[in-house]
Amino acid sequence: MGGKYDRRGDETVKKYFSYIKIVLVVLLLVFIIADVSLDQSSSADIKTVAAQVAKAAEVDVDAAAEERMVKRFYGLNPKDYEGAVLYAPKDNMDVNEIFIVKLKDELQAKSVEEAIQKRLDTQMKSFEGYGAEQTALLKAHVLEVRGNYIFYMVGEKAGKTQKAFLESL
Amino acid sequence: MIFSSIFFIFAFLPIVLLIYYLMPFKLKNLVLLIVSLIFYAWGEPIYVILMIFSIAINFVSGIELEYLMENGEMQKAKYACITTVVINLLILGFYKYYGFLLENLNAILPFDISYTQLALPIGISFYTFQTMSYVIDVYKGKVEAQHNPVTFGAYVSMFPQLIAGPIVRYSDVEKQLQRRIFSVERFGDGVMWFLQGLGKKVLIANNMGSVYESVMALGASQTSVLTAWIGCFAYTMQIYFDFGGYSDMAIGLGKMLGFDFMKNFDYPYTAKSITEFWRRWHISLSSWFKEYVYIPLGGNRGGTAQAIRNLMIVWGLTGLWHGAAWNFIFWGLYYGIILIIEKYILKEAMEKLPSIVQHIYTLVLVMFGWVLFCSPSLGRAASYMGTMLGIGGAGFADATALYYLKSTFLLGTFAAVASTPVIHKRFSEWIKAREVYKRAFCIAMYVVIFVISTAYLVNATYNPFLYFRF
Repeated sequence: MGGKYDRRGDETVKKYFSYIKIVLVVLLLVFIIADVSLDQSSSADIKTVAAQVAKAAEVDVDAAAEERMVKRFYGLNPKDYEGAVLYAPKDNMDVNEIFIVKLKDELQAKSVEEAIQKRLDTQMKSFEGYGAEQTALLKAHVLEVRGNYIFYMVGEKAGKTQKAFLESL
Repeated sequence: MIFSSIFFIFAFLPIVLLIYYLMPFKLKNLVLLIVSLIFYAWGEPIYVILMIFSIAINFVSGIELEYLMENGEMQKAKYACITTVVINLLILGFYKYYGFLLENLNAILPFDISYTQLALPIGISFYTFQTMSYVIDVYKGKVEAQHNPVTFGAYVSMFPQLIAGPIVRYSDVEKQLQRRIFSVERFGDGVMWFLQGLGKKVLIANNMGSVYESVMALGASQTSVLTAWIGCFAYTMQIYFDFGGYSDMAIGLGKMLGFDFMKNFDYPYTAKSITEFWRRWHISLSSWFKEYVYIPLGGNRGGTAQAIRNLMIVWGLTGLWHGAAWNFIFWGLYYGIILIIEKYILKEAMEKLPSIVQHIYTLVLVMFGWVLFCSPSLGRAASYMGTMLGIGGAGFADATALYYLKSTFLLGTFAAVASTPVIHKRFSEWIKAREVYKRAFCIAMYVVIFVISTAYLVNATYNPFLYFRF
């Protein structure tokens, strides 16, 4: 191997590799800075986020549903995530619902989004044809994925609550 | 992308194998590199760039080191090696420990430093340790620098072991990267390893995981001593079959692609001491720390005090490697202390104990270790350990405990037996036996494992391997 370098000239090759290494490290730094600047993950505690959201939606913070309801409505196991908070509809004719998930890993986002979409489709089918008000609310749902957080809401104050959600992160 | 998913098994893997085998040998490493980058980018579309930087920097460093050493510039080579190791550690440290560091700083400082919790690039702990071992080995003259970026890239990014090991050292696969043997027997062997790992993950680990999660969801007042031990046992089995299953699948995929990876587990729950347990658990990580940290620190050459210091450093780092949280550090130190006690105090006394006592001693300590490992906080770990010892909780046993005992008994017993060599040994004998019925039975069992695992996967939610987060 040494012979190959000797033919090309020691100093040239030496400078060449040092230069590449420095350039790569500089590019890596640029990548990391860009990554940090663009990263949307949040270290905010899900309980704090849920409290802010509940306040904006004007629901009782302590009215969050039990974990088994998350499984029943979405087929998701809350233990698979950093946290999941659900404010479920009060009865069968109610569609007001808030679901917040803090992911352990952003790779989980796709499956959670799919579960939410499935839930939405089921609700739409349930009210299609006779629940005009409910269908309108379901159509105006908000689904926001921000870094490691997913926010889903069906309700009149969905827009205002979404803003509170984003501010809480 | 995870191995235990319908997409990987029925789409990604067959396509990759087809392309890989259709290509002439000189293009196989290129295929491996490309499919590995796709595999990684599938889940980490951004951090694949970070991995490419890591590959490039270490590749260039290897050649730089070789050049400097061939020209007798040892001091500069040492400096270049240290620089590259530091760059690797800074990348790992920034992505893995930055949030942890600031969280702890914020706890002691009178003001808060705001920070963004960065997502952990999957597999970064594994591939960074691989690249560091490569650079150090080139500096030590143990291996020659790799001059082909495709070959080096294929080594670092090789998809079977990229996400959760084994931590394959360059020296172990250097020759295989240049020349590999392909045969039907080898491929078949790989398929068996893969199916064995799939079954461990999907049928045992995931189901034991459900039991563990269900127990953890109970409040302390609802958890009896027996329930707590069942929960701990469930996690003990889950983590072994989850990580062991992944390693088996990695070894199997490696064989299908013509590689032989070192085994990462050797029936760790059959160990008679903690020292032996760590010779059998996550072998590639323990041997990495031994070779690249313990021995360079002086090992046990400088007397007892220095050996104890070195052991505590290594085990503190082993804990920290697993995650940026205090429970992992304490978990590592817990093992450091036990290993020191075994090495300097208990060694001879333990050897005189009946075998069964040695097994129980080891398993109990390992199970308490897993409580530290899996708990979300040290407080929760202490409270759970307290329940296991009868402090607080809902008495010794209650209806809940009996329910868990009944519902987990069969699977738990099977998992316990499968964590020993008994089943695997019989399978290994039968699959090579002359009698057709023995071979047919083994093949039928593999088919059954595959069919049942697939049925589970069809309805499964996203269920990654536990070691993905390390």
